Amino acid sequence: MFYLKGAMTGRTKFKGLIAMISLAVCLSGCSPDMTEISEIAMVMAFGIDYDTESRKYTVTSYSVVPSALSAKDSGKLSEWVISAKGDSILEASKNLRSRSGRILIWQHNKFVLVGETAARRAFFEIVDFLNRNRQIRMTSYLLVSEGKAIDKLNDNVETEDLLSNDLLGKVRNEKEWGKSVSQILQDIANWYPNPYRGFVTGRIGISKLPDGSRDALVLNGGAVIDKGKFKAWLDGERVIAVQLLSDKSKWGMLEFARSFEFQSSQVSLFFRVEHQRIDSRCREGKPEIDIRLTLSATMGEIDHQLPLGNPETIVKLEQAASDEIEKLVRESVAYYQKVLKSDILGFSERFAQYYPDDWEMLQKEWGSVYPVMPVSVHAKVKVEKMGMVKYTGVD
Amino acid sequence: MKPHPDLISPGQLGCLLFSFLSGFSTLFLMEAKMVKQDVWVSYLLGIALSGGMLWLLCYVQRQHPHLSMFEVFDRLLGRWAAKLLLAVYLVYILEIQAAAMQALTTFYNTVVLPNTSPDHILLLIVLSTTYAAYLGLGTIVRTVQVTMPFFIVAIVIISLFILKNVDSNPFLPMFRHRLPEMAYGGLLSFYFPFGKSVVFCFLLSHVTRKERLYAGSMTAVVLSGVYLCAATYLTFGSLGMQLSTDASFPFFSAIQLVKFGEYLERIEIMIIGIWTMFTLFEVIVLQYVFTKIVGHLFGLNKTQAFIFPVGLFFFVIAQKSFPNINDLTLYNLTIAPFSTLIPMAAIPLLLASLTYFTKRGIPR
Amino acid sequence: MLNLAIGVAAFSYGVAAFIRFRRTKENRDAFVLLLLCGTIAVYCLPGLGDSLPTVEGVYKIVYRPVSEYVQHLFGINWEDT
Repeated sequence: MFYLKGAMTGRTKFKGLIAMISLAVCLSGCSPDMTEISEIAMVMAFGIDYDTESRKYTVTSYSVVPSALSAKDSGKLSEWVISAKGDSILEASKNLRSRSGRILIWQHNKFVLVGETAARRAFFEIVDFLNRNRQIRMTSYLLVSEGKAIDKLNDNVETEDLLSNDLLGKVRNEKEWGKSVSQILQDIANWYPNPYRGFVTGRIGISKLPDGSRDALVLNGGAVIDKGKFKAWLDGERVIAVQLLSDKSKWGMLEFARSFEFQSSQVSLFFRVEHQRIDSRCREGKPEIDIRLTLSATMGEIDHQLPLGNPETIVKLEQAASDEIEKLVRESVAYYQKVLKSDILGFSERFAQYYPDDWEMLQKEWGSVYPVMPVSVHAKVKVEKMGMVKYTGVD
Repeated sequence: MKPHPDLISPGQLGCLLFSFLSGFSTLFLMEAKMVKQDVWVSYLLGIALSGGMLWLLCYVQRQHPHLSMFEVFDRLLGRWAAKLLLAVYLVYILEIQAAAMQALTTFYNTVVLPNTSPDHILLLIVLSTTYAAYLGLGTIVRTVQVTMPFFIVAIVIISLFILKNVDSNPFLPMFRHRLPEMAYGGLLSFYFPFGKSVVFCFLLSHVTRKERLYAGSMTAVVLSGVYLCAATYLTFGSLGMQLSTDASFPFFSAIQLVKFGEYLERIEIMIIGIWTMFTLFEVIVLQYVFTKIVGHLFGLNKTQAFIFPVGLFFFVIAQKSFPNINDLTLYNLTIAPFSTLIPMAAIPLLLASLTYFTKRGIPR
Repeated sequence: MLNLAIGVAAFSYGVAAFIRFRRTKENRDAFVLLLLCGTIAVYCLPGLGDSLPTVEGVYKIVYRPVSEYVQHLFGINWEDT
């Protein structure tokens, strides 16, 4: 081709035409990786369960399928749940194809629900499968389900919305109440191999509505993963401290409420974190943690009148609120240390980063050092807003 | 003196060198996985070593301003020794082009096109680079200049978004690795990516202002180092040290975490396009230089006719290289840092020494 | 199939270019191009092509002892990475 430049024009044009036609093989329609949009089902959430008796995995996928059967229905998405079993998670996910009339696309998956038994017995396999899979994104949330994951995926959503949208909304709402925490796969994959720390991820359950009419999916509390498997559930109250003492991505937008006694009234404030600082220190080889929190508070509710116009009352209220936050964090951290015995806040990583020489000694005894390590908590609360009213009528 | 139809400015050389080095330097982050938070030391070592080699080569070229590097080889070494050493560079180019093409193919096969045969991807790469090499150096550098702003803007925006996920300095604690480990990391950095700049010695004669040769090229090397260091910092900071070490393509995995708002994901697709382009620039330059070396080695008149078969030769060599899954990684870590020392370090040292002693009138 | 096509393309190109160069009395270019295209065609042959050496294959044999020695000297243990 190249050496014939300037030769007979007809032959050159012919060869150019052949070259252009051969480029057609590069068209995307000829690629084996091309998928028609009308043939796909988008997996938005999937669940993994493990049966200890049969030693088989069950993978359940919750998919959405665009429905365009008529002009009236175009743009709607229909939900579709299918399950399959297998000797491994990969095999079970492949076996889904036997029940699926569409090509399953996993790139839009937002949630991985892990059944409680699977979390206790097969967490390594689950994390490995999720990390290796090229389709599942690291930004997917991993939640541990009370009981089986398949039950949650088959549950109907109260708002009649898609399950994945509903769960996404619940995760988004976590920052507005603080008693639930969800982690993305990237964080889990990063923390999981660390033998010195555990972590808390989301907990999904079912709760009956007050009138007992139906069940509703609930994200409340957390699931503690330590030493490579599920260890324990964490109550919603204990999860607030996890949020407060995590990265700024967790506490930066966090808003949570606390009620406490103040001058024989029950006062409810909601708090936002302005600043959080966790310092690690090693004195003569003994580790210490110092936690400092600065929060702003807004008055939410009081059960009878208080002299809120008096600056001294506000100062005392702030002090009481500070004490309440310190008590919350101190008791939670003590629970993680002495009851869970699991470094779910990653204190070990701070020592490894800032005191590497001391850490080389500490890490050998971390299991016995961590539960007794002194953790000091200092909180400073400033009440900035009273709400839309100062007083409510006459007491 | 032979005329050079493809004359470029020092700035254009710098742009081309930057794209050559940065193409897929951030894809594997091998030395980062090895020395982890002390990797910046290895990068500095690699930059210093390649800066030194570049200085030597620019010195050689400046002492022979009207000669191409091939003619310099002939003058300093004699005809047959020059041919032998040029053949070493041919083998070196075959080595790094095979690694580059296999790396890009592996990436595409793993992440984007798992059902497409790697040979088809290799062929597409070769057809693109053959056409570009055929168009000549001037066109290549102008293309690089046009695409460079897109690369810079995309990388800066994505880096700013990744930076939001970085909470603490991932380069702490410092100096926890032994000096030999950091030195080996420096050797790895010298091999890939900084030492590859030695290929540009064959393009130095195309540069118009010889007094700015070193400034243009060293700027590119340093900026490439800054980019690599920043990518490593962001990868460690956002993915975490453990996941960065475990991931096959750590920087890519870090980019996958970037979301604009709630639903605008998969930004990494943009980066895939840009990475691919810059890796292609690397193979284009290698193919261009290879053809020129072949032309001089065999005393050919019409090197243009050889561009297509050289491309096919690259294809077959890349296809037959690294047949097993871990071959590329192990080769990059254990063999290539040593096999590339002769063309990257020994020959430039030899040329510089001969130039120095020749200029001083000391017989060789 | 692809390799066969590449081999045939290389060989055809080599022969056509050889004839062209010979007509213009550029014998050196002709023979070098024919040699290069012939080499490519041989590499594309099934069976034989796989057993021909590559740079990677040769260097692995030549430089492995050097690499192992340096790694031993530096105390590099790849299991730690």
